[in-house]
Amino acid sequence: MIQIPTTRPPLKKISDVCWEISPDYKKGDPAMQVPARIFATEKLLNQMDLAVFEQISNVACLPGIQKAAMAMPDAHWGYGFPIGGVAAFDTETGVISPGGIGYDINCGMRLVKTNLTTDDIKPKLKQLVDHLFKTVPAGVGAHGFVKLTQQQHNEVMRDGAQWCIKNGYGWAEDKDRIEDYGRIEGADPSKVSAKAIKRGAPELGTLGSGNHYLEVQLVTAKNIFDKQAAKKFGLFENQVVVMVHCGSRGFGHQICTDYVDVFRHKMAEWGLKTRDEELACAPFRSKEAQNYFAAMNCAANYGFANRQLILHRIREGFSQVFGQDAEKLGMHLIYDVAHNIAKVEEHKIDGKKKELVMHRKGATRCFGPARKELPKIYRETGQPVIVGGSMETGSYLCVGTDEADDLTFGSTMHGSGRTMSRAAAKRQFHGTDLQKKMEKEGIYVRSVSMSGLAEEAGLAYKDISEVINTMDIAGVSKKVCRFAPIGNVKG
Amino acid sequence: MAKAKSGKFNFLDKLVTADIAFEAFGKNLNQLFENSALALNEIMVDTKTVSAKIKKVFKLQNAELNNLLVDFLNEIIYYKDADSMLFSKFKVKVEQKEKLWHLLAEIAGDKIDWQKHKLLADAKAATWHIFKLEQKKGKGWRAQVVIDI
Repeated sequence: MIQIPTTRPPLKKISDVCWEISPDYKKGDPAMQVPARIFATEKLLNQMDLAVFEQISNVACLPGIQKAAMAMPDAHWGYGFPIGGVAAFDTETGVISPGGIGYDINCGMRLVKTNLTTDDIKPKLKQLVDHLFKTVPAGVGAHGFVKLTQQQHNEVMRDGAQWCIKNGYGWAEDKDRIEDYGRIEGADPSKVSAKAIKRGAPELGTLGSGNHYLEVQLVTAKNIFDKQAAKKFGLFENQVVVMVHCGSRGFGHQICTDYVDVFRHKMAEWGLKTRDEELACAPFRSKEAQNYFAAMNCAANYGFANRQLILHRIREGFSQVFGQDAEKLGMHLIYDVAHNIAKVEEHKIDGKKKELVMHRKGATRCFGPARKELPKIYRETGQPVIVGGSMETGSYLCVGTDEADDLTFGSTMHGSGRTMSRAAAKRQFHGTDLQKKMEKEGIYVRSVSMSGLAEEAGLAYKDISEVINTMDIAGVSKKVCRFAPIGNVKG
Repeated sequence: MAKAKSGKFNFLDKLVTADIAFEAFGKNLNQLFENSALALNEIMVDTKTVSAKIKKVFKLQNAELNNLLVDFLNEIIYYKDADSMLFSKFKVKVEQKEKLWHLLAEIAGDKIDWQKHKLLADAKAATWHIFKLEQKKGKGWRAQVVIDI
């Protein structure tokens, strides 16, 4: 079991925004194979949970890890890996660890633009948010509006968001605007338990709870940092956009639970030792690892489909409230990113291309224009990176860079990162008071749970601008635009 | 998350940031499992608002007692999503037969209704993160569990 540390390990300053823990920090069995690197300004470094340093050093002890185990600037402690953890493993000698992906497989962000402006939305904001609160199911155990047969559920597992588009829940162009085109190869429904299917089938098209939300936001003049890139993404001053944050619901959670159990019982047989039980893992080429990877890809596809169905409901909602087709309202998807996922990717190690199992847990892929994985529309700008902030403080759109490949295996932050525990937030804030205070500040919020709302207060999170600036200075992801929240639906 | 039930469980908010940890107690294993299940449901709902209308009976077994508790909590989370149910009454029998730990649970609750129930946070899974299950000399049992939110 991981011990809660009381001191920070020695850190070597690599740059103003990058710090390194030497492999000498953990020499026992298992020992660190590579250094651990933390991306943060000095301010964020001082705010970081001490457990992050411990956990990222434990990740550096896993077999087959390449170059360095990395923590992003929004890192806070999680299970096994910290949230905001990035690690790459050799596909032949390395492992896959569900703890490096998270229970909410393909939790991610989606950003949709509109051609509406501040003046258009103001008189209708409450009506719109109330409508979306009714039509996008949220909260504990909420069920979705699409009832799937077993055959259809299998198709969703294999085809992800593409199933939705084929079945009338999206536009053909949406496909190019989703990471991996909304469908990851190698998903095999036969590797998914009946329990996961029973848990997931009724929940497709639901937001969930915790920090998951749907938010109406504004692009304000002073918040466009890269005018050229913003123009290419079709963003302009006073524009209304919509952001969605959610994942694969109980379906992904069950797949993680199932395979952590499988791996825990086989570790001794594989001769694998970890420093934390939640780092349970399997040699990537083992049958069990491949089964998990195939099941995890089903959950990743489910996550894309989940956000696609929510987009469908958002388009319907805007259309009804504004009395115009979603097409006329210009509701084009900008992008959809996964921030809890493992993928096989090629990256350079010591100048040579190598096939790696990338783990990103609370971290976003941020490929630059040169990567072949990007659709044509983003081969000039680089990949859009959507970073959700707290419901009070705002969110960001950034773009990936070619330099990110070498610095972080093309990975960056995913959010602002919590600094205050849920219980502490509830002691400090009261849901109904917070709702009223936010309304006075021009943010209309509806939530299934007032106590859940208090947990998500802005002050419970790190300063998102400091997080974004860290990776901008590091040259990993460049900021394009900041969005101000004006309406929020929370689970 | 309602206030901790004195003597049955406490929430441990200094142990986690984004999730919820609890410690549960029991003078025997049956009570420990029952109080752990209550703590889990109190994370999701104010259980006082959930009437014990619908009963679920299930059995589990595992070679490890630790694993049995994690499986038991995950089973309850499973019913929350698959059957849209939350629970407020728990009767659990845990015993060791030969080399296996066996559990028989009778739990009762209601279908989720957000207008009737005071819903709180959605639990994703019971995890192994800083998990503990221990017998205190003369003081019964204690479990420490982190629930992913």
